[in-house]
Amino acid sequence: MISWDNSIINAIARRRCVIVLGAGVSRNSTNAKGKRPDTWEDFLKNCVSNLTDVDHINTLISQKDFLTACELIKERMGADDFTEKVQQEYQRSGYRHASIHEQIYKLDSSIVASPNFDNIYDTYASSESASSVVIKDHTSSDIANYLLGGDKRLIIKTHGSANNPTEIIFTRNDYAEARTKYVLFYEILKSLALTHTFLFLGCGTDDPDIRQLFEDLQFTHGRMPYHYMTLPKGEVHNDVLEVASASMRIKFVEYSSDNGHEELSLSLADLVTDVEGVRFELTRNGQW
Amino acid sequence: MKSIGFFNNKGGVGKTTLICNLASSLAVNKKLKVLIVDADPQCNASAYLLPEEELEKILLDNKHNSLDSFYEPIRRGQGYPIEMPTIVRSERFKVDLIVGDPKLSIREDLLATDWASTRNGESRGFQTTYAIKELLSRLNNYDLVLVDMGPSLGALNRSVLLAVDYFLMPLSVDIFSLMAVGNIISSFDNWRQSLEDAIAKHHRDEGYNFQIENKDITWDLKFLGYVMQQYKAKTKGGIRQPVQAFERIIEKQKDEIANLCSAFNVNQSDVDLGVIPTLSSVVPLSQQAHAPVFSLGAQDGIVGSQYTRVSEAGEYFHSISEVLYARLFE
Repeated sequence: MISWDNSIINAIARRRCVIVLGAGVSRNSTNAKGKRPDTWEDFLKNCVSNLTDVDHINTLISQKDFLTACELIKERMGADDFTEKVQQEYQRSGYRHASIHEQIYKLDSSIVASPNFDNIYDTYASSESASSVVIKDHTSSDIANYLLGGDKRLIIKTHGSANNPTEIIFTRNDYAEARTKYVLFYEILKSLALTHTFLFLGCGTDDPDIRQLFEDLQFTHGRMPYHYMTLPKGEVHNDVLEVASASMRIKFVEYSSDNGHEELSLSLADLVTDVEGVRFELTRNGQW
Repeated sequence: MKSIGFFNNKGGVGKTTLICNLASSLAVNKKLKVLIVDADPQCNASAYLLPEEELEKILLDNKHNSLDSFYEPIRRGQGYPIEMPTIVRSERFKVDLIVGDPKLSIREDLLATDWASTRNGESRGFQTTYAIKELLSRLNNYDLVLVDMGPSLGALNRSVLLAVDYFLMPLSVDIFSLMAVGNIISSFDNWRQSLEDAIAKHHRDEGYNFQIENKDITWDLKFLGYVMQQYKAKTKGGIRQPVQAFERIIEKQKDEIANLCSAFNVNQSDVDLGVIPTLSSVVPLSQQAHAPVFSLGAQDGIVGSQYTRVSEAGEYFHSISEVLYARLFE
């Protein structure tokens, strides 16, 4: 089991933590047919299988240059078909929430952010909370109104949602365009990273946005508290992690990927109890 | 009608939260007509069940018959009063209530003095000691009467325990709660012996037994069970575990409960009614809203994952009320 640092327990207890849910969290879900949401790579491969003359695209995928591959695929399929495919996979497939979503929800963080297009967590959180969560994305102009927490719980869809598929950030062009078109949104993410501890769950170290953001901050502001990211043991070599840790100020927390990453869900349940304990003490002592 | 006293000699075991939420759960889910009698001079149940202004209005109303006023004619040697204490409605809990009275703590003197004459087999003593039983006997239009009691082994609680059909014990895992169970066993034993002697004396002197509702009084208190307020826990691998320091107490407490069960001749497996978690952040909000934990919503200040806490707490209370309902009515 993961032994959680006091600093992340405290950050969550004081609601000074942004929990970031990556594709790995959605992979815990299945639909009625037992299918899990596609990873980025799977999704692109599925798209490619219906196209011809795709060797160069396959090469890009195997080199993990998903952004360029996605750009080419979207161009080949046409925006309409591509959008249809995204909605079919991430919006209409009927994925059900898993135990990990319940544990994350119980951490009761005031801000949860996610680059996932699917709405598994958002739907679960809305139904659990009598629709009292506020869901915003990079195109929203009033996110700042919800950042202060208090009695509000905010979910930020950083790359948009399959509910609104024309606005999602998926291809190389989307990324480039979003960075200039939604400058204010990226400023908000940056301010959050400076004032909150981020806990990345089910994310990779290779998201271009995240990488750039945290590298920028680290080199602009120097010594900062660590952010946290959980990773399956052995997925990334230690040397690589050390570089990432130094350049992005992220502490990596490893767990075993056995039994469908069960250890992560169970460890999050432990984290819920730890956080509750600290909140209880904070309330008693008035020292928040 | 069946009546249950909620009793533990140790305070701070979540008794008031338990009695009010269980009462409401039984009223709402099981459609029972439920009355709570607040016989705790601290009046916590009354303060929980009624909004502040409403409680204030009742207590300051000259026409209000308090529980304490029921004793006034008894004190004057005029027997039981004709008039009943005022019964009020808690709209959000869906139960009725006889409001508590801080003056009840002063009645302890009368009750203690008259216990001495009860022990001598004197009718007047029996009359005072059985005032609550007389009161309960007039509440047959209810399915269930729950009596909230203060945390003492004094004369007032003795007369409540002589009046109710069952007692239910809210417990928590701490050394004092553990010791309280020992005290309860020896006090009850003591009272039962004194009472049996007193009944025999009364019969010898008067030629008949003291009666309430045309029935001879006897010691027939039954132990309905206990509800454990859950200790602070650690979760290891997603499974809740007691903090180590508590394990010893839990073990010893099991022994005490076994003693209690054998004193009341019940099966230990039947008396475990359920647990209520301690770290329930929604309890203070429910007190503030004067509403059952399971019916709290946004208008009562519920935010974020407290919605989950509200439904979890609901499940705990509803499952205990299911067990109680099955034990009492099926």
